Amino acid sequence: MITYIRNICRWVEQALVPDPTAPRVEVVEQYTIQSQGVRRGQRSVLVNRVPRPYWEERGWQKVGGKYEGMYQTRFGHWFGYVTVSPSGRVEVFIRNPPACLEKHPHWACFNKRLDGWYFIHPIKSIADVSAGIINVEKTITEAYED
Amino acid sequence: MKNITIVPATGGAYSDITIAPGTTPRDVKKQLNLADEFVLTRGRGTEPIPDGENLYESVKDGTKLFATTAVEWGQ
Repeated sequence: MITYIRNICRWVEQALVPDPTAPRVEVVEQYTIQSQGVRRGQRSVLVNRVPRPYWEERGWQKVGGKYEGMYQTRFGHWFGYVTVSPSGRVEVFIRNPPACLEKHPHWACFNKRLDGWYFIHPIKSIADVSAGIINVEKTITEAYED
Repeated sequence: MKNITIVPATGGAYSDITIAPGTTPRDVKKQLNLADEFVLTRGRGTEPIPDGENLYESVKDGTKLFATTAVEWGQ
């Protein structure tokens, strides 16, 4: 009788303790999300990149000989415009620059004009519109980080 | 190896290049025949990547960098 009870207890223990060799996760159903661009039986589509200058990529617009847009940094956006004279002279302007620029070493290069606009004076001629925009954005970032 | 794209900030053809560990912007500029005054930058206010920096470490695969000329403001 005792042996019988022991056998029952052992059977119950075995039934309750999980088999360590058994897989812990059972996959009932599997599916794969197919890429929208590449489906089975279809060839991938190579998207052509349009070579755009920096000013255009950043949403600036050319209006006559003037480029208008916003200087964009992680600290904010500021209105600006850049002019290119017929001789190729590039001039850079910013409207209501951030106050922190006033402590920047180059603040003296920001010459006040009407209606909150400032002309930024370069030491050497600026090569192109994009170079002007990139460098104004860099100067603004420097002012915020200092 | 990492694949990156160099875009002239002025516009023009993109250059898709493959860089090995230790590649610097100086190496890239030489390969692309860019003059010394050019700098590589991510734009949006970021600092240009120094010419001697290990580009392989500082960029991800697929990064797009702009090649532009530095401008110094002054009176």
